[in-house]
Amino acid sequence: MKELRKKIKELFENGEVDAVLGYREDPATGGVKAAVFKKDETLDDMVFDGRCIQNLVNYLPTLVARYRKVGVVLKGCDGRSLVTQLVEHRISKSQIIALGIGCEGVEIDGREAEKCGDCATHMSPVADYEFGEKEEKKEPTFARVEEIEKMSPVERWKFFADYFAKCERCYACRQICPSCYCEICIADQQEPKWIEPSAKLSANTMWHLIRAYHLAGRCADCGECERVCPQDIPLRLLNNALEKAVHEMFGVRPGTVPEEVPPLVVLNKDDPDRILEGKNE
Amino acid sequence: MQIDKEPKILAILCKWCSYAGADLAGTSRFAYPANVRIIQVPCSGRVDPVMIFKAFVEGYDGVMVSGCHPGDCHYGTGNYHARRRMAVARRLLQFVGVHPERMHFTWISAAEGKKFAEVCGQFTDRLKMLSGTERTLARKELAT
Repeated sequence: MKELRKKIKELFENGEVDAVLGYREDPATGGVKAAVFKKDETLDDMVFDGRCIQNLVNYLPTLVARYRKVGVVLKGCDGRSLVTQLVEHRISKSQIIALGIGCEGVEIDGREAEKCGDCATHMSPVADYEFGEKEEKKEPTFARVEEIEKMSPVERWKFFADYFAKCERCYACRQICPSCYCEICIADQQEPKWIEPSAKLSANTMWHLIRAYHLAGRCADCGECERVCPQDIPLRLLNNALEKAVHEMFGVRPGTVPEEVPPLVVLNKDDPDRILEGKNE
Repeated sequence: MQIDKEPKILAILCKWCSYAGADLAGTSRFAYPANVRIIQVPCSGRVDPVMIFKAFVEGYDGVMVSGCHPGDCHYGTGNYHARRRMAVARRLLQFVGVHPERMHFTWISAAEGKKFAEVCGQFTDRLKMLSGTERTLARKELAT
């Protein structure tokens, strides 16, 4: 933390950044909140610890429009998010100074967040400066997904239908997701209207399938959608299922390799036809 | 809830190959089940998985997507894109509990009228083998 503050001060003094996006202690709640630090502002209340669960990448597009150069504090998962934003040319790397922090896991309600168990990179894959420990990359286990895959189709539908039925269609999952940034979301589109706006099972199912599909090969598993869901729908489960599928079929783990193009954007003439059968081997 | 004995199948076909294949099946008088409803698209690359999701949500028992054989796409590469998309869409639908047998993705050329008739026949037979809950659970619950 000391090193990080020192580095940020140095960057400000050299005029290398105009603003730094990080976490600030919030005395009112005893938690932390996302904050923009500017030159000549105190960095004393800047923090990084287990409470910093928020994905800051979501704020970057607005900030790069306002400032010439923005520094950003990144956990491993945020870094993966940033990679997906960079390859999609939503943000230009020339406007970003990435400050990667070796993350030791973040907490929800005092317990380690579930996403941390399957974290691919504790350090951001893009980092101009690195702080703290840099752990080795881990192979994904997808334990939770495999548990569901063991069920029969009828059981699986029952499991998901119960959750989908609870959805209020508040679209918090969409708003919080850095990768959900269509100017007109398919859910708001009137013509053709693929998804009915009312919160009923058929329309909710459409929404959740489409949301998951549109994130296939792009979702970096920052877990924000599941965290903000007021009905506790296991949204990460859907994302992870497709992450697993994409990993098995195309050998890609989104966000872990800088400048890797999302697998559904490119084509490969040598893809085996068996992937159409839904089999892995 | 009473389930229809006859499954309803949606076939989304590329106009340059599979649709012409279906035409050929007709003009050559190959019999294929009347369960199939056909939608023509300009290319299998046009098929958005949203269409498939919608078909299942609206109550189709099976969805079939067919395009040109790899290498034969009228536009060069549409079917390669389609292959990736359909593969991912299938995994997603299977994961939320749509029975794997309810989806069929294949390549049929304009000369393969016979193959079209066979594929439709086999797909219909496979759907008939599924139990009522496997085939229509989604429909029953989605009606609410």
